Amino acid sequence: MLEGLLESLSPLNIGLVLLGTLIGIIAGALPGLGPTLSVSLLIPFTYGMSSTTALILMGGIYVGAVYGGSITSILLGIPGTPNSTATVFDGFPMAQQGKALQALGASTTASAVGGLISALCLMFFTPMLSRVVMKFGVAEQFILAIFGLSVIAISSREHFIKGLLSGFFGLAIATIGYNPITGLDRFVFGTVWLSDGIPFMSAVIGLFGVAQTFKLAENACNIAGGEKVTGSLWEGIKSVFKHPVVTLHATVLGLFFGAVPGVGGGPANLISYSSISSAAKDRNTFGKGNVKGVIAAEASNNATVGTALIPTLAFGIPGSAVCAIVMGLLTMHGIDVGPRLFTNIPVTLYTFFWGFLFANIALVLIALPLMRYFAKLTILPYQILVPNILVLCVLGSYSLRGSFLDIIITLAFGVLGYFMRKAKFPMIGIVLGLVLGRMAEANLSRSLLIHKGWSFLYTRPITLAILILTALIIIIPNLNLKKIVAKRKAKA
Amino acid sequence: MKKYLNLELIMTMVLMAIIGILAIQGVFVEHLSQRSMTFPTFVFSIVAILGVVEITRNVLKTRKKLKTETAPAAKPEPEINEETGEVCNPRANLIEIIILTAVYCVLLWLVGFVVSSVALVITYGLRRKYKKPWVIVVAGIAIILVWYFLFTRLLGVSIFPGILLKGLF
Repeated sequence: MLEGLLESLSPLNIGLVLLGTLIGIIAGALPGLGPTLSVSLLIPFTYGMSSTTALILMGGIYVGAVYGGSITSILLGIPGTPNSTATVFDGFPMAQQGKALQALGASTTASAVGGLISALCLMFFTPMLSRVVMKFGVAEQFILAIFGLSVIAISSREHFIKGLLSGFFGLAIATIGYNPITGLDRFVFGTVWLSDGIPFMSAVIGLFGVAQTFKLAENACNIAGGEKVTGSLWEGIKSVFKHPVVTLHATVLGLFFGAVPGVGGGPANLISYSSISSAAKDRNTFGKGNVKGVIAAEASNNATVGTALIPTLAFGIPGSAVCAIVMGLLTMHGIDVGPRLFTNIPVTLYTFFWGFLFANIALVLIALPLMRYFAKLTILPYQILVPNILVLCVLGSYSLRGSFLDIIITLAFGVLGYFMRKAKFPMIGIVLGLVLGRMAEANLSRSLLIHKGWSFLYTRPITLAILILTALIIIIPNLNLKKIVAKRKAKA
Repeated sequence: MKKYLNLELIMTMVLMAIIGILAIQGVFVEHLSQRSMTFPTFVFSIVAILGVVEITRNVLKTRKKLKTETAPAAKPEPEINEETGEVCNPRANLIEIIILTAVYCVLLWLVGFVVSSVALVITYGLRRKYKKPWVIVVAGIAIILVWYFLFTRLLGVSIFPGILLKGLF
């Protein structure tokens, strides 16, 4: 471990960490690119590099890209990556109130804290955590999806029925495309373009980016609604440490969801945001510019980065597309992943872990000085901003698969998202439904096949525990509501 | 009947209609097997039930509101844009951006990303009477070209060329 640390502190490797993190931040900020594309674009450049150099550069890009999505989420209301969807809910309202700097400061610091803890877990606890991860099968993944969906009920308490309707609508849209078990096409209207289903990022760019553009155009004003950007970067940084419970709660959720194969940052930031917002005393302020919402989303999404590598390194099972690319790079540079890896950990791997850790520090050093300039986007005149945001949404959507249909999907979801928001349908429902739909259906079908029925719900201890937790999370807040209603009736 | 119509009711009906179309497509057009339809049937049924509950709730709420309202609420005074002196009309602004988006989509298909995006940026900026028209034209062209070179040359991501200008980009 010490050798790895000394190697990672060489001037070349420090330079690469900074360069990789900067490239990652820019790539993550551009909607439609994200960590997967950014890391895969790196691969051809690594053929001539040493293994340490390649891995450190890749680690920096990965960390930077996961964070970078929060910049457009906060400033423009467009999630740059699926991991930054929940950041829009409170980050963009903060920008609309002229507090873009505070939101950016909070997101950068929360990301760094979550990422640092995740890197430490990866370094010191991988063998231990891998034994826990091994116990998560298809039944547990299904029940985690149900847990994720149940937070719709608790996060949309003001508009309970609409929240559930929005969530199940998202689930319904997620059934479009191939059946995850039989492989046969469903609801594709005779076209091949819908065989892969509705791309999540295209839908989300539409629901948030295009819908926000319409709102800006309707109100004919800039994002901040004024001439100045108020609020300070330092206030944002301090807020992460002022709310340690929120930061740690979000980080722990991120560590957990990151380690479970097949879940990842997309659902993690949404579930973390919903869980924290529903448990908070000031829950009514979430979604209206509460800095705790930004902290919850960003701490959890960067916390998934390190632990997502645990099943990859420990079992050779990549939990996501980025992890598959990382595994490929490791194998290409002579590191065989799998259970034998931890009997004799090579120095190169430790250098990679330390590089990962330093990338989270580099995040703060690079991103914070640039935020003052990025925040000025929120006071640009709407006549310039509106068409350019629309263009960026179209570009981001097209760059996913190179399909014109994705642009149509984005614009259609933009119109739908605008009117749904106007009719007070919570957006978190439809987003959670879209992201968890396939996972829920596929794992339910597999669980029913493997366990020959519904017995997995009560015979598997982890599944039963999560099911009970889900039920408690739904029932307990509603019990309090009933008491309040009963008291009011008694008074009247 | 008309007085019960509001955006929330319409949106609920739109969501249910979309699910209805999917259900008809699955059952009567694609003739999907029972296995394929198990999960969708469950989800569609929940959407239908929730939709009916929400419509009922909305109608009852509107009825209660109509009974308690004595006089219609006064219309707010129209806002005037200080820069241009025009009366702000949010509805007209919304219709304008939706139409421009639809035209942009058609142009995108025909002439590709660069030409259609430059046209959109310049048209919108000039229509909204930005104080410095030359800034709109110059910035519009410059920003779109930056996006083009960033995505195609630096990142190697393709951009839609348009069916009429396929050979050029």
